[in-house]
Amino acid sequence: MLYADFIFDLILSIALVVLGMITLQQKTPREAVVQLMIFGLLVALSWIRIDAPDLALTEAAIGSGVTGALLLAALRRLGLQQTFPPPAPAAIRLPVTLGCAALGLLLSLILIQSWDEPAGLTDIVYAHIPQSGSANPVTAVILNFRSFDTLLEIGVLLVAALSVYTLSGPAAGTPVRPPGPIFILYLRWMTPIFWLVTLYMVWIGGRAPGGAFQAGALLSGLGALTLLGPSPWPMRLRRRVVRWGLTLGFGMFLLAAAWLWRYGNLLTYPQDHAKTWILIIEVACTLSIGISLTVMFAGCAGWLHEDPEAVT
Amino acid sequence: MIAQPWLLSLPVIFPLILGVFTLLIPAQALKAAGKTGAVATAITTLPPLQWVWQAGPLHQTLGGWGAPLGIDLYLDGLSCLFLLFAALTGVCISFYATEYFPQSPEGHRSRTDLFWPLWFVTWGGINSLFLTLDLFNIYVTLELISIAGTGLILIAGTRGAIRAALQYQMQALIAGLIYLLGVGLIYNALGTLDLQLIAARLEPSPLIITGLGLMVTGLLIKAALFPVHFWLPPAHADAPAPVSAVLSGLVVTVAYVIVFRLWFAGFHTIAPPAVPRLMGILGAVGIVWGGLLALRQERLKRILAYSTVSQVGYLFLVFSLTLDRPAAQGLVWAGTVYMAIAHGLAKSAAFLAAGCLQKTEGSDTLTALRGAALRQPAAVIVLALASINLIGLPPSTGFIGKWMLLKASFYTRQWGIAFVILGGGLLAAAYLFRVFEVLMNPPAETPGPAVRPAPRLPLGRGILLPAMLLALATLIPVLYITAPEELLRIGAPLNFSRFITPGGGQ
Repeated sequence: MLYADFIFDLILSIALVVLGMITLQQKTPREAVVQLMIFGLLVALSWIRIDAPDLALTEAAIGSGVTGALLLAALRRLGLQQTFPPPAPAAIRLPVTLGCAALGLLLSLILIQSWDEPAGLTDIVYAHIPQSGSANPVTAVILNFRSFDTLLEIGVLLVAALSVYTLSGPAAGTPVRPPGPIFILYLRWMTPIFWLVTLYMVWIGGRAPGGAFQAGALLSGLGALTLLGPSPWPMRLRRRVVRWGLTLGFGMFLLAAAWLWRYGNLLTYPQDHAKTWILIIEVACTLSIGISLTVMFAGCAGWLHEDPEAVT
Repeated sequence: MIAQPWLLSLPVIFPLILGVFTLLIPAQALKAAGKTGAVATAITTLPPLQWVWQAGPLHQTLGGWGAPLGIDLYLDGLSCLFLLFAALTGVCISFYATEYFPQSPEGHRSRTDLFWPLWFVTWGGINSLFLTLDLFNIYVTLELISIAGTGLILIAGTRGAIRAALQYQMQALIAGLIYLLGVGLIYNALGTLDLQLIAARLEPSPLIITGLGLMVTGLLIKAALFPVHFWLPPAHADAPAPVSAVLSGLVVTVAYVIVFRLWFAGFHTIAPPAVPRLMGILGAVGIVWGGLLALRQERLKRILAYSTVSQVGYLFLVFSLTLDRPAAQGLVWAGTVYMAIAHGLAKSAAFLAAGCLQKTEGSDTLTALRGAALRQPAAVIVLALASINLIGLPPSTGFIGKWMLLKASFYTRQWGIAFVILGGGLLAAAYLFRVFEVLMNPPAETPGPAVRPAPRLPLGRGILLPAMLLALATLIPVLYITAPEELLRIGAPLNFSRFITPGGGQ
């Protein structure tokens, strides 16, 4: 059994390196993006191998799914027949390659030489889980012990969506083909299922792998599909409505932080109600993450306009 | 007001709330909200400051958990000084921005309205970085600032700005990842992310030294130390003027302050002596290199951007100067902090004045600005006041800082550094006098100011007042020289007993 594990890990590691090299060797950006998405799935697999299912979920959803969709949407806008610009001269590539290789070698040597069981905070985290309002240690860390980090991360997403807005100009690129009947049927059937799985992801995050980031990524998948579908209703929303949606997560988080000041400290939940607070914040963040990523998708595809009336 | 430890998070949370607020209110209310919000944010920094002044360093555990489980904020004299600096600069930039960006038409939100949410979030992040003790939190906040910074550059909307923003984002990404890699190694080795605990547990193992090396490398890119400064000039020159002031005056300073804090929190005890020596040398080369390139630029904002590369170099001399003679440490620290604050204030003021010139003259190329002093005397005066600092002439803060560094370099017998400090001042004088020569002299064929009708773009009245205030503020520490130094001594940095009182800068 151990032996089989070892073989599997070995193959996975080799595949990762090879796939990385293949991705770098692609002639066109489109092929490179597809390879990158496969690479992301393999990385997700390796997170599972080191017992980090939360990371694996996030990696698959965001690292592979959302990133791939964003890159493909941007490529579509640029014209799919793009090829990479000629590579940098060898005088630049060689030192960069050597530098990276040296750094990689140094890190491997140091890690192998001085590896023992990492000190970590696992014990302290597990000791405090009963007071955290979440049975899932990852959620406990993200939304309680280190909620300040997460507050700022949600801010990062908001700011990133706003930066896409600053780039929004008149629509460009080829118009999307009208959706086929199979896609329309698929969308009709999948919409409720997407919502169901999203809500389940948020809810289960309190006990098992899941939570706002994975759920939000899933929701943005639905958002992108809807934009491609027969009735892209999000495109017809007033920009003001979208702005409220974008800020919902960050705003709720900040309001919670300010409200909780009554208990004498920033972001200290009252212990009996910690679970409720975490759930409220997670739901708001899920919606905002979904909307932010959908806005980025629309922005990458060139569908955001300056005109205040006809915008996402 | 009664100061409580929890007030410490107010300078962080309040501007973040303002960021959301300014995104949701109608565009017509933005100017009023920007002004009141900026003043209110500055006021939130005062209660914790009063506490530190009276009762010493302030410590807060966010979420009530405490390190190593949670994230801690910590306010000592050093962060107090920089919080105050950010408050003053922030208020002035905000007031300037209300006049600089055009009012959106009724019922419409234009791209420039996004300045406010992005700027307030940046401000919150900057304040947070002065306070946080958590290495991973530093990473998250740096990401927040750099993505907001990218958006702020993009507000300019020009091709050059888009290219500069992409370059800025790429460096931020790479620098951030290098830093994060270092944090991972440190966490692996020491099992905590809290700076105070790390400082207590440091030991010179290869794992820890590599981790620290990577963290510092990442931050050096963000602080634009030579030779990893290449991203800075286009980003700072092509952004709108208030954004240039934010990036050059505040964001670069923040990245530097983190290096400073990490280093003297304990890194210096385990780093091989070649490292601080190298940082000092790179700083010295940066002073000269930035100055030489500033001499060759044809656009005012480019000159100011390269001047930032040069001025950042002075801040890195501290690592070399504190190496041999710990007794000089207090003097060098004080000098460096003076230099950082003088540069931040003066460079913000200079960029704001340059923005006015660019708008009223239609361009910031030196040929377009010929004789501008006759048409825009106020802007040129602000630029001159700022230049006094950048060159390091008495009685400016920049002079005090430079004097202290010079004294320390004599004291530690680092003659090369002393030479560069003096030469750097001459270089700054050269590239700035070149600007003033152009500004003061109208073209020969047009004898009077009346001949050339300036293409006056409507600029709000009083737009230059905040810039003037910033430039004048650099002259204030001369009046009560000891107050900042006393503040700096409180818990500096991180309560280390090794702090030795400055040998008297004046």
